[in-house]
Amino acid sequence: MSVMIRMEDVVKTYGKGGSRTEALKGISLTIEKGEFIAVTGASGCGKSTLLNIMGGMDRQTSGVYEYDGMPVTGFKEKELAEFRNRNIGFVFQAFHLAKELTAAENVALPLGYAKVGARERKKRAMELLDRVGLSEKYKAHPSKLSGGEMQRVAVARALANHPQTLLADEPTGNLDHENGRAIMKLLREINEEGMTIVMVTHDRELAELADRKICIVDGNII
Amino acid sequence: MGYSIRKIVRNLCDNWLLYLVIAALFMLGAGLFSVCMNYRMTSRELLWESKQKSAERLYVAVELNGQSRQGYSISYDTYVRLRSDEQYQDLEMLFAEQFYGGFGYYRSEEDAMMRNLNTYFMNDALFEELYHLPRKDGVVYVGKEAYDTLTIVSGMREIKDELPYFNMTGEEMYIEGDVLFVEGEAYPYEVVEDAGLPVFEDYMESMTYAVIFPLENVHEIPYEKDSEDDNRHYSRLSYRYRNADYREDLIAGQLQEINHATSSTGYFTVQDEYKELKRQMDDYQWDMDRWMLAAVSILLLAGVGCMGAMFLLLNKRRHLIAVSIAYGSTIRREIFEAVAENLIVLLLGGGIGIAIWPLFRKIILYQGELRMNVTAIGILAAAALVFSTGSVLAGIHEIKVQNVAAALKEDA
Repeated sequence: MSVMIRMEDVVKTYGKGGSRTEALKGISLTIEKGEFIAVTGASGCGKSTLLNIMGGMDRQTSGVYEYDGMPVTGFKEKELAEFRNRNIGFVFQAFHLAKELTAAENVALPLGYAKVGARERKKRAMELLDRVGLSEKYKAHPSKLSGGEMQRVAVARALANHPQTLLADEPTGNLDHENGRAIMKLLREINEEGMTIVMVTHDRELAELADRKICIVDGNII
Repeated sequence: MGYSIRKIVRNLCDNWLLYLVIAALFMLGAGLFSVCMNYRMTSRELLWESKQKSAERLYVAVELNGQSRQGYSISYDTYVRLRSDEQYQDLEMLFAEQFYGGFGYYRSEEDAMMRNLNTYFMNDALFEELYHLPRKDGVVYVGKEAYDTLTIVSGMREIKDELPYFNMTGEEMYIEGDVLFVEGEAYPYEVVEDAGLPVFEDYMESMTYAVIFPLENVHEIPYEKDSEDDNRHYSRLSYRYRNADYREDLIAGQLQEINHATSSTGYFTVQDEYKELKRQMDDYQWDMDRWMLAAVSILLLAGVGCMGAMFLLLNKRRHLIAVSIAYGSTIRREIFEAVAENLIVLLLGGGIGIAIWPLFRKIILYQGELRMNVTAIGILAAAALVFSTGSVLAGIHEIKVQNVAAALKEDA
């Protein structure tokens, strides 16, 4: 297997002077292509910060971050946007579906930024909704969907551009046990198809389902 | 681009009611703005007409009467300073200084004589305005009566000690052949016939008694230089604008300076016609400023109202913007789309406002001609752009790539 994510001595600090906080204190890690990684740790230990840096939604204060051999550290805003669009799929605890858009439009959102034509966007969105078992609800707005359904739509959206990596931040945190298991099953299936998954969770049971666990304590990997 | 256009259209459709209100507000603002701008344009045209009138006319703005030693008249230095001042370059100065002179002798009762002899130092502009003669460099022009007097004076100079009474007020001046001597300096001269020539206005006397020296090439007026017995009576300054495109009334500025330079005690006359025109121009200028202020205030009020509504709308959309950025959009793209969306609404509202502004004129009782100029349309378009951009920057400025995750967390 080849390296998908390589981080070396990544530090992230917030604030200045006396109010300066170090969220990550020199993280170094390597994630192989196709791995399913669980990042665990207590609240506020820096696991979401690590995920955001991996996904190009945040920048580290210092250190090196390479994705599939690309130096993400030096990316400009536009390159970073393209990186997020083409390579990363996000699944959030709070789903973050756009309430103004239907399920199909939410799924198609990343495709618009990848300059995919309207017809192809619709087709691809319908395929993905079908995959997560929600093809009949393609016209529904998020307010008409249950928590489990919203997270499935979010997973479908994360897969829209065929990214190589899916980053999930507490994907089952807002779901009941049954829906949580269903989402984990879906993520496992996606991983078996070759996608690299990095999942942040503080649920030990879920973490056991991953190939490898990374535990963060106070901004350090232990 | 295609995706952005679709997004903009969709957002416009989804929020059509609020956008309708914003467009209506800006339409009202643009309509009232247009009325005010029309008032302003009318005032501006009237001001322009007045300026043109002032450029065509010659104004005798100042006539100062008094002894130069007492500081009443305009000195040559003051004239040169005002003429050279950059700020007065649009103003043509027509200037002359008059020095009173006279000649008298007494040989017998039958033979007694008193003659006036007035000396002028006159610039070319005034000379040409008064006499319509092509002026020759360095030539002194002598009126017919003055010439006769100088001929007599020149003849009597040799025997003046033998006369019971011989007096010449002013400096010694006489002619010998084609040369006129003053204080030892020699000048070529020409005699000017009186017929058809204008006389000086007001206090100044007929050309026939005048000896007119050039002013522009004189470094120091002899009479100012060392005259113990200062005989200056008048200085005369007229103005004419070189063109109508002057920014402010320069005559008033010069008058203030002259007032200061002459100790404010001289006999100072400003033409009523000029004062009336000045009053008119001040009124038109005030009208222009007033209507511009009203126009800008109306536009600002409407714009701030629109900005508030657009800001609220964008603030509601912060979550969608953050999600879009997470999935591949950029903050620049989001700002561009939001500005374009707002701009479309404001331009539409503003365009309708301009198209139907004549309906608004009854509100402000506008009776004048109906028109719209490029400047007003430009101001409206620029204002629409500023308000659109302002509301967007105020609404979503803090969303950056670095804090999209934080923004999403907040919204969660």
